[in-house]
Amino acid sequence: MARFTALGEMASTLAHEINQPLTAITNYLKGSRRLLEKSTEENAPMLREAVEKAAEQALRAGDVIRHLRDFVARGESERQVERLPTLIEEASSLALVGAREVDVRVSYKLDPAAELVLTDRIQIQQVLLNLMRNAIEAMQGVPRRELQVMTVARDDGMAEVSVIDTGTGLAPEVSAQLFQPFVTTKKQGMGVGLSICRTIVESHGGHIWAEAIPTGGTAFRFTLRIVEKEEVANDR
Amino acid sequence: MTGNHLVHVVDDDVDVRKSLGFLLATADFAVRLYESATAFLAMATSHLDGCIVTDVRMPGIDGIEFLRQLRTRGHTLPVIVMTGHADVALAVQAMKEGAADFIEKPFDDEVLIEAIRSALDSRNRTEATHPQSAEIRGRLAALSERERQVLDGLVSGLPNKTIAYDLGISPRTVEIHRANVMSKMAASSLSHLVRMALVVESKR
Repeated sequence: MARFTALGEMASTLAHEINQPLTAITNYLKGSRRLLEKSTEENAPMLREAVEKAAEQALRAGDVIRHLRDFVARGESERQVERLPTLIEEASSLALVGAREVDVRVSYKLDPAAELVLTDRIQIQQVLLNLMRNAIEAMQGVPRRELQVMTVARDDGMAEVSVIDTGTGLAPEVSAQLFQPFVTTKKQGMGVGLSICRTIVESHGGHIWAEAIPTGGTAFRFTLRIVEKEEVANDR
Repeated sequence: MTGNHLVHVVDDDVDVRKSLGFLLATADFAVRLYESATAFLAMATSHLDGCIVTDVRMPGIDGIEFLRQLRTRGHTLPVIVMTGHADVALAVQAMKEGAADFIEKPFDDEVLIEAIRSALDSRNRTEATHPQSAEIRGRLAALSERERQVLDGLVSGLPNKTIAYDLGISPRTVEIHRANVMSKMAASSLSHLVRMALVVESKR
């Protein structure tokens, strides 16, 4: 619980402090876009688009903060019924930016029975993004670089999501405290990534753990409860 | 004519305040900036035009106290409350103290401008109607009885566990109802949902 509280306070303070400048940034950008609408300059349309995109990104940062704060403040966040394959697809497209340059082969094995889950989309994508980025990093400098994302519908009504790499594996002393905050093996990193992943997954009623793969590499797995189609309102 | 388009901005954060001044000027509003509710009240004459956009969390007189003092002094300007911390309980309190609308920082300019326009319009009508209220009412009507009960709980600022206990159902069932309510109401966030519910409720 202490871990939760420390992160919670940090998130809440950060949220308040960051929202103010984000508000100012958004206002200036949106105002500039309004001015550019009246401009007859040759470059105005391009500028307008760039300024609008920048504003959208500032609002997106606000969204991320809001989700994080809702979740630490109430211990519950805004959850919607989402399609797990879509979440994975969207997170992958972000995680794999630049992956082609480092030549990582990516494959998916998605169980059609693990389709609908009740989640905070942004949070679960954050978890997926984190695990996939870690996996790609873990494979730097090894000859075989294969990333697999797999889902399985388990008998207990949970969807098990695995992110599997062919990297060098985890040192035993690290794996014991992998999900503790401020533990890291990276040169640059605060060591809060996996800790936040655990907090998010557990708040969704799931578990997260790591396993060594006998043939080399590591699997990070987490579970989410599956939503049965009958549970969802008829109109979706 | 300009008198109808006057916006008083009250925010203790100087950068946010100035950015609002800039944004609203580009949308052709006349803007006056105040660093605190006290500064506004000191300037306020008996006859005031336009509407107020105020932050809720400020040192000295906060947004809620500001709403009370305005009413005590007989000012009837519509007030839009901005919050950096979308606390549902606080939002409900603001609406009950007479706020015309509340929006969450950071916001899309259209959201703010729409809120200002409808607040200014409402001044000219005795029976104010939020432009979206018919649409919101339609969505509300699409909720099942259970979903409506869950919505009422959420609007009261209750956590899922308490709503579940009150209704005698499991927290997980509440979560599913809640997700269904969010999608049927086309709500982008919990505070957006509360805002819609309150807009309709306050005009009943």
